Amino acid sequence: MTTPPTHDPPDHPNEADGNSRIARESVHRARLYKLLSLAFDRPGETLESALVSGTFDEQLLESAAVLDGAVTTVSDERDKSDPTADAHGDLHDAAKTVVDASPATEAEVDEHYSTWTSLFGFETGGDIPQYEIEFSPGTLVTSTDTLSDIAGFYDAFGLSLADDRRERVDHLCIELEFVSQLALQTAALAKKGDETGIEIVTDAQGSFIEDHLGRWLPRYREAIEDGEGVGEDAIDATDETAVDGETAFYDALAVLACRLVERDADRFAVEPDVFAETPAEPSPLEGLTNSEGDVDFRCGTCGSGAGPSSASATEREPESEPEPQLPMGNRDGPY
Amino acid sequence: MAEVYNWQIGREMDYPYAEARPEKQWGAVFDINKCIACQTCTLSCKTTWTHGEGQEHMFWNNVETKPYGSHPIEWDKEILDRLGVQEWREEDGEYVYEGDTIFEANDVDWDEMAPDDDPQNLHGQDIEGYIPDSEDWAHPNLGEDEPAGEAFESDTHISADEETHPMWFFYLPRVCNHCSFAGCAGGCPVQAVYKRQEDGIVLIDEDSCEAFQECVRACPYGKSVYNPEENVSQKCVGCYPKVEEGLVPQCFENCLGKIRQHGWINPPDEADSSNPIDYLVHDAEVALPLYPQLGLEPNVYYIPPINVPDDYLIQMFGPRVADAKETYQAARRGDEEYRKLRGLLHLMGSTEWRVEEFEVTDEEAIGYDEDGETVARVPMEEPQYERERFDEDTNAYRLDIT
Repeated sequence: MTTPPTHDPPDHPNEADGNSRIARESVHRARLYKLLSLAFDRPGETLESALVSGTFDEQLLESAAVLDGAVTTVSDERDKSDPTADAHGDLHDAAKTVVDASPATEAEVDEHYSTWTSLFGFETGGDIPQYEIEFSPGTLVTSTDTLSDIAGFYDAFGLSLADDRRERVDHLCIELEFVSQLALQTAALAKKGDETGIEIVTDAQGSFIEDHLGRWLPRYREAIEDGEGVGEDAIDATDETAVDGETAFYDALAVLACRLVERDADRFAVEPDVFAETPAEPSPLEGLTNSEGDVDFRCGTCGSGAGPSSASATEREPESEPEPQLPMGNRDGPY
Repeated sequence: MAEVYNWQIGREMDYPYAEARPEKQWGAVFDINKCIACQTCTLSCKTTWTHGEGQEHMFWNNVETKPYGSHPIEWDKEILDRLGVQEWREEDGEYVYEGDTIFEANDVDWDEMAPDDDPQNLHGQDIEGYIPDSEDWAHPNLGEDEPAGEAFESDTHISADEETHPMWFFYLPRVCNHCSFAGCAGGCPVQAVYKRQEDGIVLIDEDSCEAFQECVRACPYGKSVYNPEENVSQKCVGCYPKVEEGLVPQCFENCLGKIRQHGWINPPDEADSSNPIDYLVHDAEVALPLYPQLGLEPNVYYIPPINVPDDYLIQMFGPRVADAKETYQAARRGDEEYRKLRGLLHLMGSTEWRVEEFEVTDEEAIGYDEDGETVARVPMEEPQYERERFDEDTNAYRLDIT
């Protein structure tokens, strides 16, 4: 911990400076989200050319570095003069890991395609879902409100899926792309100096990360880490092919995405409540066995130990107030 | 000491707050004889209001089999046990409840236990009640279709003129009663529960709620429920957004059996015979409150099931059960005296609009909304067609000719 920095405001603090900084950061955030969205999607020509030409690596590193340099933002002006702030380079580190693992030649990209399908693709039984609802409690049928909430976000900002891309709205790539779009809108509004507009898109990014992206991305990262053996186990695996190396690409991507979203959660001062790990199928006897492991099949009506609890309350010196009125209200709330 | 007049028990009673009746009071009549426990109401509510995290155990609307079903488990047995045996007395044809309500059972001096702004003062702590265990919320269907009474023999026959059945059960659909003397509002230490002036709907203000769960404890009907995810208590909101638009709540609109009528209920001295709820409750006296002896003046009224023995029903709906059953049966038989009631029973549940006024003509029962527009028309006699028993074209006898 360093000593608290003295308050040293910028020489001429004015709105224009602030806005150009916001615009710059937003553009790089937009680019990072967009690149992540592109990379997590089923590999196609766009990704292939970006990888082969090296543009993907180049842009990823550049944007990560810029954001690392500007760790401190709206929420925390103090750290600006904090020398340790610049030492945070975790986005760039993560981006570097991605770049190290990224396929660079056409042959590698081809193999990369099979890696993607083995992880996420239906054709080879890849079993890591890329949908938010698969990580949330409940089933698709009971989560339609989540879908409509997400769709409402897109709709509110005039965004819709391209006609030829049929996909459920809670898909990872669409959610990432949505944040990317909002970041771009932020940049455009900052250029125009539209403070109200900035506030709206900023709030929306915060809310979207808090209610959606931020809640499941960490679980998604774990699924890639654990599920598909990019950990130590996989390195020892005898069946060593390019696959191992390339799942590392997704592992690194997920780490980068998580760090970016975590940092944005701080930026927008939101605290996403990460979904609990999906529990394994509960045993049919769960809750019916006692500490000795004996099964107790008494049903709820027989009152197995479940007497109603009485509320504890503190005794107080009563105060008298004649004829207190029942709280009333109207459609705007209580009076 | 706040004394309020509760017409359902025929006397004044203690309550933490002074009597304050809203301009209009959300009310309902459920005809138990028509309920088949399809749970469409339950699901229409669940998918509308309680599909979120922390609401998994919540059923603002539920349908339970009586006598053995209940949600939360044994809510009614719990509160009746606590109150013990209590009596009604008859006085010039009016019934007066002589026992204690939940506000009186513990002899609280409400002058001393007056609600104030201090949350530490749990003024409602001596309202009789209990907080159900979390397990108690986990089995909404326990006891479903379990009958009571005498065993049936294979040749048991119930004749048409038999008043009640030897073996019986019935379905009790339940929502929040939006009580006139709500236990939840009476118990809340921070006055987060309030009644809306314009429609009498009881709501919990989630911004003010501090999760003391005193409303959960004080609602004897088990209709105020704690949400552990949001750390607030929540309850049925009477579908107020629909009610504001002149529509009936979700569970009413979606009721397949058309057993539910929503409308405004007035106190007996202001009853209006053209208002369907007032007519069923005050004029025909065919619809009765649920456990009136608890003292909350609940605003959902039930037409008692005619196949069930009186003793159980009297405990549940009060001493006017026998008369209500008789009236209902007379209307069902087609007695001319109860023609208006029969028309209204036909009209029940036939529109998604709130019927505020009705009339029964020679041919039909008609429902009108707030502005006097016709919103429902139902014939008094359903048209019936009869075909020939023998179909000559196909040289076959028809099994179904009406």
